[in-house]
Amino acid sequence: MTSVPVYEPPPQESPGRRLSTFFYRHPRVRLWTLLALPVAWLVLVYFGSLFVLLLSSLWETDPFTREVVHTFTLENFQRIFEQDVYRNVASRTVQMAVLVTIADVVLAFPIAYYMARVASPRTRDILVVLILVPLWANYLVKAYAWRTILSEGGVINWALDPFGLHFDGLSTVGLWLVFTYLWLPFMILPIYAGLERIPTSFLEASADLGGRSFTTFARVILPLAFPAIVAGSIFTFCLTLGDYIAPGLITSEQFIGTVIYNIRGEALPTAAAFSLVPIAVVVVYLLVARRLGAFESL
Amino acid sequence: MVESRLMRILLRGGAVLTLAFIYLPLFVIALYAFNRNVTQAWPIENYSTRWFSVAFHDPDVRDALRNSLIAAVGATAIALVLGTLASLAVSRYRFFGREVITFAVILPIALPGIVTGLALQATIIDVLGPLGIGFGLTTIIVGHATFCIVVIYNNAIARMRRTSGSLDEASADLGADNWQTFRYVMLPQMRTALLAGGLLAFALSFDEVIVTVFTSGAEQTLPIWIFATLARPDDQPIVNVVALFVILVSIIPVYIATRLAGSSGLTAERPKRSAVAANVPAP
Amino acid sequence: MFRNDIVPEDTDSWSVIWEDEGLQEYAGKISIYDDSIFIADAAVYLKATQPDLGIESPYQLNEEQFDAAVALLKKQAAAGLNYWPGDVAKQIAEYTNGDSVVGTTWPYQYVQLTGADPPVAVTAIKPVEGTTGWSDTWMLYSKAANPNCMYLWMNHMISPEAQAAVAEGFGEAPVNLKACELTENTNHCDDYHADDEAWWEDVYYWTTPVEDCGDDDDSTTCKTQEDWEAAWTEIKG
Repeated sequence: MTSVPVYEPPPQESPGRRLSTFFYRHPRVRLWTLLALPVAWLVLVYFGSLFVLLLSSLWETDPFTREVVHTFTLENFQRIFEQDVYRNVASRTVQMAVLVTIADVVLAFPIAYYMARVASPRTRDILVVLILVPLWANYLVKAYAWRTILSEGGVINWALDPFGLHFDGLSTVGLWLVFTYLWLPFMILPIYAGLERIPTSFLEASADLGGRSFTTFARVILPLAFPAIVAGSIFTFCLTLGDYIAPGLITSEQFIGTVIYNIRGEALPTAAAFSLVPIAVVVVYLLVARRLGAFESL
Repeated sequence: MVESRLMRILLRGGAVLTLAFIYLPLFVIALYAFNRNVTQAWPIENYSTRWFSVAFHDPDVRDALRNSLIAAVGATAIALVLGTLASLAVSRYRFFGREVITFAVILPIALPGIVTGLALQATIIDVLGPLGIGFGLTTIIVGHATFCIVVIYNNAIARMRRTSGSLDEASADLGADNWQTFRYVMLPQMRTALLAGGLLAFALSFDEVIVTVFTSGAEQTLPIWIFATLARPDDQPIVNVVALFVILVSIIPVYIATRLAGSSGLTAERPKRSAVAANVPAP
Repeated sequence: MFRNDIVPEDTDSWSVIWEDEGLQEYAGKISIYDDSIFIADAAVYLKATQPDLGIESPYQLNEEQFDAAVALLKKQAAAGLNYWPGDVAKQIAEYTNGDSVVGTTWPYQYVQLTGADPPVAVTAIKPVEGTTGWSDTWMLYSKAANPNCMYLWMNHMISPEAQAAVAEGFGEAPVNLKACELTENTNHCDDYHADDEAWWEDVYYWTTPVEDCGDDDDSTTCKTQEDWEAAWTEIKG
């Protein structure tokens, strides 16, 4: 294949054409022309900023004014490693992120499956709209609504009261419920997309080979949908890990986000040092997710 | 259909339960928008529409809404350009570091919002400040665009994977230059994927508060206004009214986009179920 | 502050949120200000109840005094607390819905709760052991572009009219006593002890903890703001 016409040269070489020919002959240049802007943006804006933040983890603060003083120290890291509280908070947060992810998978799978394989095209369209619209309902308003719902005098206890029951909603369990709620659409959409990608012929082949409903589900559908589930879990896991507003509203337990948020003003270097913990967790999580093929299903 | 009747009934039940879970709190928000009292106690004793006129006449709400729209449009536009460029490079070339690009694009949304926010804030204060650039709409847009790139990139790259590079070459063979190939061959194929990604990016930016707290300075976007207002005991009902308004208004673009893109275009690209397969009667 | 329907009306001591009895009774419903400065409130209680610790100022704590305060705070935290951050809406909602029934507060929340429709029946007291407090102040930025505007603003803020409005709005004693004739509630200044210096004697004003204990002995050192903050993160667990 060639870009040079074989019959006769065009009457005039436009600059656009000349540029195209140049790019064709120099694919590296063309590649880097495409990549230049996005790479420059990510490196300068994003990785540059992360670098600035992590650099400050090596600085001291003035004990009286709490302003950052540019004096080298490893004390911030020492504090993170030596005090139990930071380890406890990190492990509590990761546990929460895992539990939220599991709950979201359980809640998202049936509806995603229903949308992808059972619902009529019309119902499916309506369901997609119904899943997307809550994404526009403000995150904060939803979190505050949950506060009211979960509180001592809220809807849940109002409904349980006649049965003599009581639910301590403003607790870690309550927060688990709220996180599960907040990130649910981010799990439904990738699973739905993943399930819809499975050709019906695969399922028919499984049935033809004698696979019953459950066998087909466990041995054909689930493995094929798994990368999509992992893709959704990137959102549910990572968003839980970095939230600092919902935990403060619902519980008095500390999480990674709330600790960083609370100490950032007066102890920015310690906050920056502690930031490395969720960064490391997320990078590992992403590396595993990539191996599981999640990046193709995002 | 390979799903048994029982399984279909169970699936329908599960779908209804999940939908109920999603909409119950939204229903509560809608109810509280009509609560006459300032405090959110249950059950609501007096209903009133007074907060609707208060919200409608609040200049802060209008300014915040305008800022949010500007920020979302700006961030989406930047993300569309950067995400499309990156997706073209990664889908049409094999090169060293290709995997790193995907990783780098995902990282801004995957890393905790508090870390991204703090990092951007530190940079704005320490690096941009001395250059005379302070907090404002620009810094909000830059922050949002950074984590919106990924949704455009993902949608575009999923589509590119399923279109053939030979079409681009055919276009070049027929004498089109790069721009013409992009404009008349690639863009029509990517259009619905970009629309879907753009809509998600817009929604992501429009509702963002975790990072925006650190990049906004004195400018208020709608979520920032909500954050500030919810901390004041007197004005909570107005927030519920505004939230209800945004939910209701958002139905229109979401619905139109769903119609335009086909529901499947809104999440990610996938082959259409063939008409034949769909019409095979259940065994 | 406490809810009248749940906590005995004659409660007048910090002990209700520091000693086992109260901590068990109101576990999970105790409302605490979320800031390291709250360590000083523990020190105020220790100053009254454990004189052998020798606490003079609740902001100047040596190692032993500080550790005692932290131990007291950890015991309290184990009972289950609701922390309220500087934005006060959270605490107001909690008292309204019964999620919190006793704890520390600012006058503002008390004014909001008792003035709500319908009002929430709460009582606010200064405990017999004394308490911590602060005075609102205005600062002038040394590089302000228009300092004269700031002076005009400060003049406005100390005028009787502005003082009366602020004092009633937040629930505090005005500094300018001429404001006392302008408050809507004619008893406001009496209610808030604006002209009663003796009442303020056991109110310990917020200040930054520093290494110097403020005594003549150079060998003693006190815990600094940095220590207080690190301890606060640890207390919350």
